[in-house]
Amino acid sequence: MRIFSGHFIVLVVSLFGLSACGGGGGGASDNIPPMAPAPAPEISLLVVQSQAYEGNQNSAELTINRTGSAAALSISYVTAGHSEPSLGSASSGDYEMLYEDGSAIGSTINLSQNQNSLTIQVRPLVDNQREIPETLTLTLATGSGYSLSENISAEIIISEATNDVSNSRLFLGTFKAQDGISTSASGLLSFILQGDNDKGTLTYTYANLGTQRTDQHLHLSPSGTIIHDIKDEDLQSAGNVSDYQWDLAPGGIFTTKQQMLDALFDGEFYINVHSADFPGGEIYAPLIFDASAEPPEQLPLSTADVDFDIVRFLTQATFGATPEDYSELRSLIDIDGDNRQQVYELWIEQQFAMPATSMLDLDDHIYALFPSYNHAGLKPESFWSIASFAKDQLRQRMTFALSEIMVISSQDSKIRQRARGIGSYWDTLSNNAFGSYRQLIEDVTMHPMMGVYLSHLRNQKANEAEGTFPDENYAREVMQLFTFGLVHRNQDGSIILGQDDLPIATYDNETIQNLARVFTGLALSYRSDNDGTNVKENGSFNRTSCGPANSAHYCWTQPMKFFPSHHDFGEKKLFTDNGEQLVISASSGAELSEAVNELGVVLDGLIDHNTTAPFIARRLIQRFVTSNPSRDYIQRVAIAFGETGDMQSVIKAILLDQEARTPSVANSATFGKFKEPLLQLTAVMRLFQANSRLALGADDEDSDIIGTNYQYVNHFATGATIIKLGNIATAVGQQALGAPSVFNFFSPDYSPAGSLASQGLVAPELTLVTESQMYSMLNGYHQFLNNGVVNYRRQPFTKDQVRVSLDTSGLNAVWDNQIGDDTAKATAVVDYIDFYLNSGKLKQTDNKGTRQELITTIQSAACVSEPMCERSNLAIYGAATAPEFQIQQ
Amino acid sequence: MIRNCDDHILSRRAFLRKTSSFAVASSLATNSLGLMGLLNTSEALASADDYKALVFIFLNGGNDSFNMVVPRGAGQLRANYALNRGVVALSEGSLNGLNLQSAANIYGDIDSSDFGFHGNCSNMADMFNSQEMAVLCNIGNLTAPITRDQYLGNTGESIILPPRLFSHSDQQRQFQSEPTGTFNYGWGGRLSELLESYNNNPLVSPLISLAGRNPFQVTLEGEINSYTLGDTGIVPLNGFTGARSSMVTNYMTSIDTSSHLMAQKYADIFDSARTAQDIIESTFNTAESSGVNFDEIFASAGVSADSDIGNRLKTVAKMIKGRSEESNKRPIYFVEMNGFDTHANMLPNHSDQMTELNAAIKGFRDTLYEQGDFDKVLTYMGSEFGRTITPNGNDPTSSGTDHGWGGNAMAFGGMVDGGKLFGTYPDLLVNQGLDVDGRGRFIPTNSSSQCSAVIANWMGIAEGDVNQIFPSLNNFPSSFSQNSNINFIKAS
Repeated sequence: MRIFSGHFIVLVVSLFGLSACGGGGGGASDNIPPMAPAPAPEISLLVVQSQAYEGNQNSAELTINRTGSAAALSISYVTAGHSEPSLGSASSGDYEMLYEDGSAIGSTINLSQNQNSLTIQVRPLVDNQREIPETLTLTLATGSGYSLSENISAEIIISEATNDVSNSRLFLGTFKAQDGISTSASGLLSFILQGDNDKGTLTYTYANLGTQRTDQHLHLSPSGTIIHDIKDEDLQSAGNVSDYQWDLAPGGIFTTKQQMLDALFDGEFYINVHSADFPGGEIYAPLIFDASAEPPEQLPLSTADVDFDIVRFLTQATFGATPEDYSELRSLIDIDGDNRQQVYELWIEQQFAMPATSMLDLDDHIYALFPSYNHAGLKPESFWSIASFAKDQLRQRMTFALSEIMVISSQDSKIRQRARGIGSYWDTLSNNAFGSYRQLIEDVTMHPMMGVYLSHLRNQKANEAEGTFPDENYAREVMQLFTFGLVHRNQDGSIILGQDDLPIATYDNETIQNLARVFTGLALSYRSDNDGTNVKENGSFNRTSCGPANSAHYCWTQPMKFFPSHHDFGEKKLFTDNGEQLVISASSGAELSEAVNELGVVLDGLIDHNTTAPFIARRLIQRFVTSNPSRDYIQRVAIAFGETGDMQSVIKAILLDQEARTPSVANSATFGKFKEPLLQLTAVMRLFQANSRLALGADDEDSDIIGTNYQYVNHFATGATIIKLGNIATAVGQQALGAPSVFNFFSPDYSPAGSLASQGLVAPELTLVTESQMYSMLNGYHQFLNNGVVNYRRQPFTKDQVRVSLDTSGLNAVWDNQIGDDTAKATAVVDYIDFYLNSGKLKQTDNKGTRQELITTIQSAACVSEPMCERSNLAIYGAATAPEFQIQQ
Repeated sequence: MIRNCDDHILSRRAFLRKTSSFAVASSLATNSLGLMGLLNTSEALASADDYKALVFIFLNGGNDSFNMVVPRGAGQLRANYALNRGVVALSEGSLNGLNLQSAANIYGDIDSSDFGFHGNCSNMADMFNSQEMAVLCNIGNLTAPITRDQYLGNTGESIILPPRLFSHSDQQRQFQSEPTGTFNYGWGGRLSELLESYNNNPLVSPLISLAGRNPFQVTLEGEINSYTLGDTGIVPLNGFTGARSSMVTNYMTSIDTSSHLMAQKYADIFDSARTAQDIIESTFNTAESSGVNFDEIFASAGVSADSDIGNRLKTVAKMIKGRSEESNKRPIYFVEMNGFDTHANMLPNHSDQMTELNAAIKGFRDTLYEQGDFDKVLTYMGSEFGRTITPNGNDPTSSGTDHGWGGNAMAFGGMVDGGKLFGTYPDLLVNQGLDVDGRGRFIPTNSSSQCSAVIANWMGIAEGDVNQIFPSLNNFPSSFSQNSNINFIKAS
């Protein structure tokens, strides 16, 4: 007989078993009973892991077990989807079934001889579609050589992503009046879809409905078909729905959840609120997917947490948090802060909509008030007034951030001598702050002040005969500093390594030489009289001036233009992106438009270069939120940047990202950034309402305020005054548009020796903090607090009229209004300062050192002298210089 | 746990005093203390006379040094200069002639000893001619010697180049450290660590900067931090008394290792400033009451009151003059002069730079002589690269030059073998020889590290040990060999 080894063992065992009780006496061979037929192996299917996730590439896992004989087997099976047609079923394109060694399972599942169990992996295939969870049902089928146990069926669910908070998607909407209706009702909506797309949480609030609410539903646009009814018992209170679980069950014209999901992402759903006067709907809010926002942690936030986060947001998004700004936001945010993302986003949208405050225009206004002085020496004095009082705070913060990337600097005398050009350059940045980075780089490239700073103004094409070549300065810096930097990077900012495990340079010297040829032929567009009148087109390439240092500098406020005769129209091989080199073909040189088009193509290439988005994303995150963003954070912002640099999406991505909005960072020893001296100073000035007697608005007869009647006073907060700080800026070590070089005040990669360097962390702003700068800064605050700041260029005004001093009445009121002893009062004062200048970190982290020291000092200080008493002086000096107050988290 | 910056330094001092003399080691100790190996036995506990200061003047932006040290005469070199410099060439008549003590080494077949300094550098020329100053020709960042053919890839060999040539930030960093991809330490910082036994003052760093944070003074171990002075010295704190002073002092010391890392750094710097303040104030007092009239000497040298480099060097002179028995014996000063990135208006701008530099150097030199310190202070002036020989325009006033590579550095002091051109002066031809791309960017014929090694040796590192600071030197012949032509320190 044939003996298979496996059977043999079984037989032997059986024989032994038989022989143990069989046989008996004799032992003649014809007494051996016949072999029982080998029992067929029984196969069962067990689920180890039923859930597979496309996003993480987590596979589902099944086990096939067998008992009985050990032959090799081919086990048949069938697959099916979900029995319920409205729910998702996996198709063959959604997954692959694999053995443990990664090889594919074919039409049968093959067990080897002696193999008693095997693992099947169901690995989801990545596609670019949004899908609801899809069910795969696997059932074993009968076949030869085996029998089936009772457990032969398994249900696998293939989902796109896990339901971690980080995989949620946010849909936002603002309630607006229905077409043709006038109402003052408004509100906000959010829907958070969980990672596996199966369901989500709907929250919305609205107020000021004209008449009684009658009903509300989820509708389909544009038909208006009702998709889902929201019942009264689901409402928290009139007009509010909070954490309503919506499972995307098909309704209206849709029969499957997948169709619902697609419609949701297509923005076809809206919530409609019907009222007595408007049965067709008074207000509605569409659910619009916001790719740039991440919802906050779903941890319960205390009221204090929410308060601190509001101040953190204002610290990130303005030049300093004030009680007014805080109150405005707080009034819109729920007690538990659930809707704070929406409220922040609404605030950002309002900032987008505000008209830009012009530095040049305010400069002109201020120059006119102080006619005796050479305003070439005044530098952009208007910056401090703007930072203190302008309403478009976020735009101006972005402009400041951009000015630290695309640097021109008044430290260079050529820049200082063209004073109105400086304001014009700032305005160019600010007008593009919420536009596209592509347009920004074009306007910067064409700005004559940049042309002077990086010397491409009047840059000429090569002259072989004379042995001259184009200036390479702008070509180098536009790549190295303004767009993609020195090495190729992934979307998350990480450096891409080549075959040799070294970074790959984005350009070499030859690229620079060729790119320099692009920036040839640019010169001044206009000429004018020294006072800015008599403006004419400039026809002379070599013109270098339109007036001396104190004049109108009209030509420096207008974009340059190409002079084709000086432009190099030859072919240029430039930088490489994604394996493709940008080559500009030669053109005839006959037309100005050829040069313009060529520049356009080059700028397009610079901005949509794969490395530009993460390079700029990281720099901007460092200017607003933290010095050491995670790779994921950089990537999310880079995605928002896109191919043209969508600045609105970028700033939203930066400020609304969960990494920026997580309150628990106050406990981190590494998150956040060291405040730039300039921002530390503006925060103190805003909180303590730094002011002079020279108002931007009208005279105030009740006080000694002199009105200057600035035409754009409405771009500024009420009571705005002119702030001329003079040498205080030098004392603290930083002046807007005043960096030491095109490399800005600090390198984005500066890592101070010691624990920061050893943990691989950067702290760019700490470059500025040295022994001499620190003493200089302390002296600056001493002067500010003890004497106010009087810029010596004050004629025709008196010292008292131009002096900038801080207003401590608010601080004194905190002391006075606090019930209790001096300790209680001092505590209230410290908490007030801590709240606005430090996002309440001292109190939140129960800091015993600095907080206690401030309280102790303040409680025993006198408050007798005017206008700033000793107690206030100590409190503000302490807050401005304490270590914790230097860190923004 | 309250931090006290002084603690570990004091205990280290005590530890060093206890140990006996050390043998000169042939390799750097790589353990965390790392300092023991390289100390010369007899100099371990130095006497007050054994004082050597290094002053590194960094010319920021790429000094156009082929217009600082310029060929003259009827020969080929001058002709090459005139041809390729074009509109930015300096006329022979404008130059200040140099008397060379020995023949210059020039690339190729050219023989010439006829050179001059820029017309506005008359005092520097005097120093050269008095053998106080030497020129180090055509030096620059280089990882290993290469040829033009190798650079252009014609030989098919794989070569190592300093990373990101022609980029300011990278070349500055490399000139102040080593031509490596990742930055490990500045050679000034590393030198200071290795010479720590000479620097016995725990309260003031031996690394003093008048230019803020800089790569040059970054140490490997991160325990010695540079101390930053303002241009005119230490800034006194105003109104820092009473409640304000105790409040600030108390909360600064309340910062401990559980605080935010950036807050710790801020508190460290405050600590450093307070600790050093008294010493530095007394150093200045000593200098200012020493009878040396710093202001007058500098003014006579033509230094104007608002010259940053002038003020900085005056401050350095005072720090050196005001030293005491307890002062560090191997201080390293870092000073910068800005404004050398002359992409446009090169002739007028460079001219102004040379005027200001010349006056400041003269003032510094005269003061050091007056103080009696000229033999003890080595001053080294260099820039991250030279500039293209060819200009970028055809107008003599507005044209400029672009980033180059090899350039001319200088050193002066009593210990310098002055009146000589060390290294190899390029032939100034383009599209051949040393030029890499037709613009006249010359491959350095000596690396900046070869020069820095000479300085390190003078400061106290044995010849055989300099490669530990400058690993790239393993690719070059020794700076100290007979025919190296780069050892600009007089044999003692």
